[in-house]
Amino acid sequence: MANMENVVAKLSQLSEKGQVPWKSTSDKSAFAATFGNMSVLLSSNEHFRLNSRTLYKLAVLDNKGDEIDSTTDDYEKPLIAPLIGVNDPPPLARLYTLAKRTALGVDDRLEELIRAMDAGSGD
Amino acid sequence: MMNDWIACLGVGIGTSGLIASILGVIFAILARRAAKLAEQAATEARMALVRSISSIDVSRAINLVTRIKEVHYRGNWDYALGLYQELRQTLSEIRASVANEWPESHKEIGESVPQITAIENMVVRSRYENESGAPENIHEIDEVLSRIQQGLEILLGSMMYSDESGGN
Repeated sequence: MANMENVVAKLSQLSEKGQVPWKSTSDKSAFAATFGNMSVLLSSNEHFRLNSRTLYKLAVLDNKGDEIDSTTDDYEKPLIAPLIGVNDPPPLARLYTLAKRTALGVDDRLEELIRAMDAGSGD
Repeated sequence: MMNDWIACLGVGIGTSGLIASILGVIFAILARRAAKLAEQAATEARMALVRSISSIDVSRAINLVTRIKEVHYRGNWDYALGLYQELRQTLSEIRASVANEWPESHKEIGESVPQITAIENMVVRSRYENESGAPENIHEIDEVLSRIQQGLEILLGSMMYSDESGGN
């Protein structure tokens, strides 16, 4: 039986390969992707940002855009970065980073920047 | 004499049989062609009806987007929430009816639905976060709505053109 954990795992796996058509939305902290008659909406809620805490939410929407299921991850960034292995980002935080990179075309922009630097167009 | 007469009769019957067979084949071909044309006409009529119902839905969705923008301008966010839901419902109906004829619009409308949900979530959140209930990025919201409206207007234009040119 499929559950939200499977959905997050599949989305993460496909997002790593750049195979999820993530799109930005009018909400700067939310990204959407459509598959057939269903969509997913991944958001980070700034309202819950207290100190360095962020609430990530992945909602599965039906063809009418109504939420049929959702899952959340509460993530608190470690205050001291060298504490490796402690408080690793949860799956939704990692997925959010991937979604943002795809939706905003971050990789293409970085490549463009590197090409521009190679061409010496910075002067 | 009798044999000649029988032979003539035989040839006559044979010829008549042949003519009857040829006529039968011709009639069968004509009947099949007529049935095919009738079926084609029925399919075209059905498609025209689907297009006409869809174009009514598309016009309704365009009007809804316009109304939502007006409601945003007036700052009536509670009312806007009801309209988002109506727009999502209408878009999903349009999407289902344009799947075969306009695949590009089918894809675009499918991507529009979660965009409306994202707007809706933002408005709900803003109602708790500030007194006016107005989201901060109203400009971006209206930009997304305008893009959706533009896509719907293009689809409506294609539907009208398709009706005028007899379904093609």
